[in-house]
Amino acid sequence: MAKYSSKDVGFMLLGSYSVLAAVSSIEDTVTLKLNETYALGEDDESFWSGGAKQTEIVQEGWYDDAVGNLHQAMTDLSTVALPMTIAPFGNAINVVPTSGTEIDIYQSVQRVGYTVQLATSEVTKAQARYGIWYGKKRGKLAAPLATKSAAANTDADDALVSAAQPAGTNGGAMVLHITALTGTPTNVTITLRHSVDGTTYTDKTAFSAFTPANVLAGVASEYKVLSGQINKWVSAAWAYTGGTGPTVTFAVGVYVAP
Amino acid sequence: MPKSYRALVGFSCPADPESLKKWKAGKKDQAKLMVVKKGDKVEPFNEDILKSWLANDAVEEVKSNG
Repeated sequence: MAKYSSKDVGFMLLGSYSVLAAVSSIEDTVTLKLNETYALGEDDESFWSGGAKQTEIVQEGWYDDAVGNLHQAMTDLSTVALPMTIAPFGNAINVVPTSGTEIDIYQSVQRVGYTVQLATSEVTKAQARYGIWYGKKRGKLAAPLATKSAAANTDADDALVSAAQPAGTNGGAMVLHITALTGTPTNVTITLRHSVDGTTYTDKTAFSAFTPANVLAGVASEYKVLSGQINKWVSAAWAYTGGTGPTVTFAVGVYVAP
Repeated sequence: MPKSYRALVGFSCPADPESLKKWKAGKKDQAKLMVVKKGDKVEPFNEDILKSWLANDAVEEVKSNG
């Protein structure tokens, strides 16, 4: 079995920020909440679980303090909840497995703590803690994190989310992270497309339009629920409103509900 | 008279027979793409592309009352 380590991680994005540390450990703890079901006078303690789980991620390591990286994210970002996506197997489609590179999608993540332990001129040793609402979803990489220029699409890439057609019929979700938007467009709209045959790609669902100000604020990111059938091939299309020679850097992931 | 079709959703596909041939041969970087908006009228350039449009529920046939 192939081994994957820190150096293989393609990206770790929280909202518009890259929160991939130079060197770090990431701990993901899931807690199942239990409630008491015994009353006064009963001999033995008994509990029940409502099924609610709480996930917390603790990331500790050395963080590059360049603009847009984790140190800035943790110091500047308000504590709004944003999607987080981690690509543990790299930033290339159809690699692990060949029926679509797997990624971890966290729908709603909140910064709950950031403790700086040591700072040098280029890196900061720190511990970041995230509160996770809703469970982690194992999705597929639909469009790798890359910079795109004029309006177009990734149809030719043939990104897969499943070996079988259709990938699913019960909907799912898609996640978008925009990390840069240049050329001062009014906004950019990214649309998820899908295809049954890899030749004709139809619009599935569009994300909200995002502005350069959204990217600067670190919030140009969205988790959106999908309904109905999702076909095995997917692509992303992007279009701008206004701007001069605009470019956009983004990644898109898709989760197919079982 | 050739049938005409209307796009049920926005879609994109190879733009002509030569591009479709290149697309299917894996030379996708050499293929020209056409982008169609929802509601646009479109005419298929050959049977293969029409089959692909129909398989993807991209178009519906436009019926005339005449």
